Amino acid sequence: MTRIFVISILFALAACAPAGHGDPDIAVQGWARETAPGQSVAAAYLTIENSGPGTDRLVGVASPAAEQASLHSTTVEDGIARMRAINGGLEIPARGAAALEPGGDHIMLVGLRQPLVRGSDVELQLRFERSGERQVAVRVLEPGASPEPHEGH
Amino acid sequence: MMRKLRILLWIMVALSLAGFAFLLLRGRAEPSPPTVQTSTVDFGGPFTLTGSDGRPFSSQRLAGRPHAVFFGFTHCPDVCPTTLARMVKLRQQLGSEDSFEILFVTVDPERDGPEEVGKYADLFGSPVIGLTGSPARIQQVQRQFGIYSRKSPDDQGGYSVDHTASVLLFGRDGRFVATISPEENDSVALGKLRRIAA
Repeated sequence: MTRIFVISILFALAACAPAGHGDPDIAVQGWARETAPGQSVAAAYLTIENSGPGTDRLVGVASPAAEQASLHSTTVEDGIARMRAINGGLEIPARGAAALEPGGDHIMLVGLRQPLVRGSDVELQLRFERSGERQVAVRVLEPGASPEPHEGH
Repeated sequence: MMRKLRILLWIMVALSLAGFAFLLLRGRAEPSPPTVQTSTVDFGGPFTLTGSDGRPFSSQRLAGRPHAVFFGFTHCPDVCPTTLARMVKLRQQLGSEDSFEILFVTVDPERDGPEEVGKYADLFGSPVIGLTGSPARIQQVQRQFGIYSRKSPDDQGGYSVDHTASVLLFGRDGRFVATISPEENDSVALGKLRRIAA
């Protein structure tokens, strides 16, 4: 009897486990930047919202629009702009969001099959550690675009 | 007699060794002073690069025109378009496309020919002058403008180029006035642009 009681307590504790142990609930929106004819690289930006109690991690990206896609980060330090690959993926905090924005983290598309034309859509395949594969179509916008999907939050 | 000669010879050997040691030590003690290169050329200064039409572009074309110069490269999908789009937006806020010229100079002349810089410069819906040149010429202009750049290999067999992030501003007389960095806000940047465009 005591054993059953202890086990049920443990289950109850598991149910109200701290954030990070529940399931993530991922929603993605984004945009890609228009490219010049002949330009072989492009950047796509995302807002990844996680309304669930569990953290997740964006661990892979691919796109039929490009030969390769990867997570990149731009930093400006001591006046020097540098762009590097992000190793180990990008954390999406529980009940939080990760923003990939101009001048920071972005999805780098390399080997574009054709230029990204304003107004068209680009397909992105995102792989999350816990939420699995997600397909998202992002709109191609002018180079100076800076949509703010967070407005009103 | 033989003995005296032997002593004399030994003395000569000792003297020449001492002399040699003296020269050696003196050479160490007094290194030649480091050379300092001075230049009377202004920061920036005249240059000739290649325009998007493949023809020479001389800085004389900018005489009497305020200008903002940004060094970047076309395989740069993030910070370079962000910077150029921002300059175009700030120029629109000043009210006129004539208020100053925007120059985009590649730091990646191996990949960016006239066509590449031209099409890239055309992306922004407002005149941007795209410039390239031979690697040696680009390097020389970078030195004139104090621009750092360094190739950084990526994991996909290509490379990115680390480069100075700031935009350099020059007045009507061609003299350097100020820089705009990505970190500073638009109102500060606009103040500087008003100064060169005045």
